[in-house]
Amino acid sequence: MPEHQVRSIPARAPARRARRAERLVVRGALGVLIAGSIAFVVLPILALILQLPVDALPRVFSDPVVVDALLLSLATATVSTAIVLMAMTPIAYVTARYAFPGRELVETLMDLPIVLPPAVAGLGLLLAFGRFGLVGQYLSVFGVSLAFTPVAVVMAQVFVASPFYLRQARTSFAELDPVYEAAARTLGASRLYVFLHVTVPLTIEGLVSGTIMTFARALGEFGATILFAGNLQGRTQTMPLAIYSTMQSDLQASCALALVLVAISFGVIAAVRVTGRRRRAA
Amino acid sequence: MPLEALLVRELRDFVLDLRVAVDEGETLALLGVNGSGKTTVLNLLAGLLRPDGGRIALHGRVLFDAGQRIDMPTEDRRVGLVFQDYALFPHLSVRDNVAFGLRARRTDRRELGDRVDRELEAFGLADHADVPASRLSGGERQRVALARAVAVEPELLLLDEPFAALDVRSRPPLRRELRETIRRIRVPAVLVTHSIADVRACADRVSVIQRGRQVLDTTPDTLLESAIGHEWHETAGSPGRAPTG
Repeated sequence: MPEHQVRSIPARAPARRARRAERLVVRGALGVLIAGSIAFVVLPILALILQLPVDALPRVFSDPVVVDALLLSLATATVSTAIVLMAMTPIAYVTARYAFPGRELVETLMDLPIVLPPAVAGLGLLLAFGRFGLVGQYLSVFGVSLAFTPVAVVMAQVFVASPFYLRQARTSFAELDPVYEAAARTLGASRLYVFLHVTVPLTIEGLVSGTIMTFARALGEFGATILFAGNLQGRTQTMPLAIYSTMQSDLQASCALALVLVAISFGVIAAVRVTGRRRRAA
Repeated sequence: MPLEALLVRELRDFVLDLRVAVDEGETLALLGVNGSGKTTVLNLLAGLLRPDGGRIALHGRVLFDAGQRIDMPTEDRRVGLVFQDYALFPHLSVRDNVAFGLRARRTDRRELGDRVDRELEAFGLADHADVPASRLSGGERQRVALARAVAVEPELLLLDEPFAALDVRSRPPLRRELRETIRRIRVPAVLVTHSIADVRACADRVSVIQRGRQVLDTTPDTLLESAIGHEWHETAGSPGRAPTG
């Protein structure tokens, strides 16, 4: 047996030990990173829960500020979501199915609110629809004033939340093979009938998950709302605004509202994951 | 002729320019290789694509006329189309697939039930009525697609490679069935295929299509005697190119 081969065996042992040590370090570092990241997400939620003793719940949830904010938020987010569904579904379908000049421009403009800072959106809405705004000045001639009303809350929510539904709906429609719609039309179904009885049932998971994301985004809206709708209790003060307002005077009320939003957010993530899984399984 | 069509449409590589005339209860086979424009012909007749020029008349009704600017929407044409992969609605049962067209046309509920039952019976699908369409075998899917198209009593039946998705052994009985169905409903039928066996089993007349133009119009029996038919048999019939089943 050649000498250099015999010698090479003991020479490998330290290398192997070094590799094992390196693996341990990488695994350890990864573990610490994952644990730290989870803690970073969980700790604030835990802090909210700890701040709110159970015996404080009856008092907090009879506080008019909390109740008003809760009801206003649920009502406006529901109305906003309904408006987004009705206004964006046709746009999503047309941009997914038909090529027309300016389609890319329409898509880009409609997606813009997703990257626009909400404060910018709020200021823009105010300058467009406020009393002296671009459009608002003509509306006020007829005695219509939108800013600082519940309507403004809904407008702010629709503005920032619509792309979440639009994008998902467009993707779902584009992924659907047009052959099913063509088949339905050869059977004598009008375009509207085809849409309601073929297109929607076959894309329903995507449409539902887009709707849930839009509702969640509308519910959490803060920046555009406070600039365009103000912060008037019982009128324009939604949950996120009430959290901000009560934070200094009544921390427990603030935490109660925050935990309601946390619970809804959990529900949203669970719902989106479930519909996503059903879609992949189908 | 009940169906008279002159179709002109510019495709990517060539211009489709074809005259199609089919008699009542007659089956015309359009024989051609992939990309010869034969599926386009069906889409033009069904109104899923718009011709650049020409005219389509079905039982005296004008479905399309470039000169008069008539372009009847697909849903009003009464043209049944069996798609290559059948395009059954995956979210509906066999019964609801067959009933789809009747429901869309707001057929009276009792009449709808009777007619759907009749078609399910005629196509041997009565036992599968409540099975989701997505769970059927290839042959069953083809029957559902035919039953669904026939249920609305079309005045023209179009078939796009109706046997291509099936395995070779199940084709002969289904070819016979299709032939009987077309005889039974007595409408003009246009069958698109690249299989000589389909032509011989199902067609009364065959039109060979090359790059959007008819190069031969003959009967299935004399097809193989012609030079084009013979050449087609030699090349397309060879293993690995196009299965003729």
